[in-house]
Amino acid sequence: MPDEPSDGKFPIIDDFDRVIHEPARLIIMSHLYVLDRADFLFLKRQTGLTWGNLSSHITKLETAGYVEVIKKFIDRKPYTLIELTKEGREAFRLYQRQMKHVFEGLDE
Amino acid sequence: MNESINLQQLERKAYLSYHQDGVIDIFIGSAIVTFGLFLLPWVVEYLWMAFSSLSIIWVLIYAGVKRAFTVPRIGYVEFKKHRRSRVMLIAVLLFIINLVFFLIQALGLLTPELRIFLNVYGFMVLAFVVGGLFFLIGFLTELHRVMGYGVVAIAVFLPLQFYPMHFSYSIILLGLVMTAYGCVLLFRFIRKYPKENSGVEHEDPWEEPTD
Repeated sequence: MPDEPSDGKFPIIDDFDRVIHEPARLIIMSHLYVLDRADFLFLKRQTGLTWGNLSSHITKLETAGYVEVIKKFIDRKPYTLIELTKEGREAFRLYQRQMKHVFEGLDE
Repeated sequence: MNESINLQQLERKAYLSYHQDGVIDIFIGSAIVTFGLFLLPWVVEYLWMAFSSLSIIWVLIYAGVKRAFTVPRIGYVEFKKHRRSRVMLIAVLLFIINLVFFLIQALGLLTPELRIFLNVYGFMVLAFVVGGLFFLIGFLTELHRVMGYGVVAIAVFLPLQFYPMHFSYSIILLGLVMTAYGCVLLFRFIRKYPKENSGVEHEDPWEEPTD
């Protein structure tokens, strides 16, 4: 097609981190970015995702090394807490910059 | 609106949702009622002691109630340092105010002019000092209803300037308003966030089935 770039790709958009770009994972990452750590129930309440969805998305984020799942006793009660890893935080910042860059100069 | 503002709003929403249960309102309101009760002119000494120890117990069990009641409904969260440091700032601020009042009283720092002024306008000063404190705490915690309590505080203390009445009744009224509003919030919170079914799968989705 003549309107496409010569190599058939959009360099900036192609660089997007697909793990973060998915809306449900993006909202999970955004929450974890602004909080220290939270458990499943808190993330479920804030994101509005179902248990199954939340669980599978967090597993994907954990596999990508973006979140860490910590099992911790707080006042003798077991909690499963989720927090962003250093890599996750950096990946989120990079994604933020890329998003800003994509829409730069675009008329409203 | 840029991304940083959205993230701030996200954090604020999470923070406010954690404090919309009304537990803090009920606890502080009850403590204020207790304080007002022991200031009543006809309260005998042993009741004063009972109420004082009761308020200490309330402070001790607040965190426990939050963990036992709020966390099972909305979940557990740890906020960033700036939230925790604001609470610390309020604690330090209240301590300094108490210390200043104590020193003024203990060292007799009140000048005769100031003493006369306070005798005449004492309740007006009290109304605006207490109201101002609530405003400041509301501003620092971002819990706007605390600013509303500031307005209530001014509304209940200011009439004392014009109508002779023991000030403990105003304190009790302020505490009752806070407790009542806390109960309304608690009722709404329970309806909005029913206790989650604590199935093993929900508590720990990674745990392997044992059978």
